Amino acid sequence: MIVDASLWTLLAILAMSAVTIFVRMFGYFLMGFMPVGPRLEAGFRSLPGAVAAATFTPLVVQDGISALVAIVIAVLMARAGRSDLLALCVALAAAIAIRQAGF
Amino acid sequence: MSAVLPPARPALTWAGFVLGCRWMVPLILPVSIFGLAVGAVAAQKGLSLVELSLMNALVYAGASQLVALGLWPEQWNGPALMAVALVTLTVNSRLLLMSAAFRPWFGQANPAVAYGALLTLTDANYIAGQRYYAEGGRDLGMFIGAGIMLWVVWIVAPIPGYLAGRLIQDSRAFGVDLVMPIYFSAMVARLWQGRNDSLGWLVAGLVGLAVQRWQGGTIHVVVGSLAGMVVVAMLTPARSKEEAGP
Repeated sequence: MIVDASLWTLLAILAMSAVTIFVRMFGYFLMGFMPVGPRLEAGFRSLPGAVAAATFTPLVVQDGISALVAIVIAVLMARAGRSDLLALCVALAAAIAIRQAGF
Repeated sequence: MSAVLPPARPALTWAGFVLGCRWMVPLILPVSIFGLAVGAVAAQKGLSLVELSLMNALVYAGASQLVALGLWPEQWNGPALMAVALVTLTVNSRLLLMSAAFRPWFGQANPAVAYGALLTLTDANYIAGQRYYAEGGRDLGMFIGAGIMLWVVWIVAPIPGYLAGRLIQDSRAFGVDLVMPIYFSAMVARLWQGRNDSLGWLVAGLVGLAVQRWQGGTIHVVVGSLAGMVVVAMLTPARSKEEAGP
């Protein structure tokens, strides 16, 4: 049970690994054929925020007030120039307090 | 004769590697807890510990592993294998977009180093790497260090979950599920540069929410972030006449 490995399971793991390596590299590969103009550059620069917004908005809607308060605190503290780690600690403490209070 | 200098290759240093590792320290706990969950599910599905560790090392993409394990069949055949590969591809398709974003930074590096670095690409070192690049950092070691750091955590953490075979109780009460959203939000908040970003990120959030409501799953991350990226690109002048900044 601990050390055996079936051929099909190995095949499945290799297939998962192959498709994941493909997506890890292919976007970068394609960009080698595309000149990066100011528009694309601005789009890529803005992409992390877009990824965070697209990922966390459904989370906040689903999870409610604790996630919302925590993320707002983190964003405000980061914009105010505090360290990410301090922002994490304060925002997390607020979320835990809200959850312990039963919301 | 005016000597034209070739573009400088981005550095690859041990100091950068250590810096990348340090950026990931706050994520060790939440990634470990996620890993425990994956280990527990793998045990339920009858994977051996060797198979689980192989999957963690070779796939290294937690959400896709959890979804694929949900589809794990009791009897394997060709279509079941296809389904597992396809769902992995779908959940991880966001990495395609993220890898494209590293062209400006990695483009001058030795291709073997650039593609090798991309093997470690995951959400955490994508966001941290983009932050580091926006602040002027160019050391590939930072990206690789962050990736390897979480890779090691990802191989080790699921083992106790596998052996215990059950989830730890109520991590929600202690906000463990919020560590990654909070840390990422703080990191990307510093990348905000004005009205275009506000509009783009608003669109990304709304599209992400709508697609998630409509489709479920994880494809909303790709659709939403692509929509936001397109909005920002369209709001940017095609030619930068004045390089006066945002």
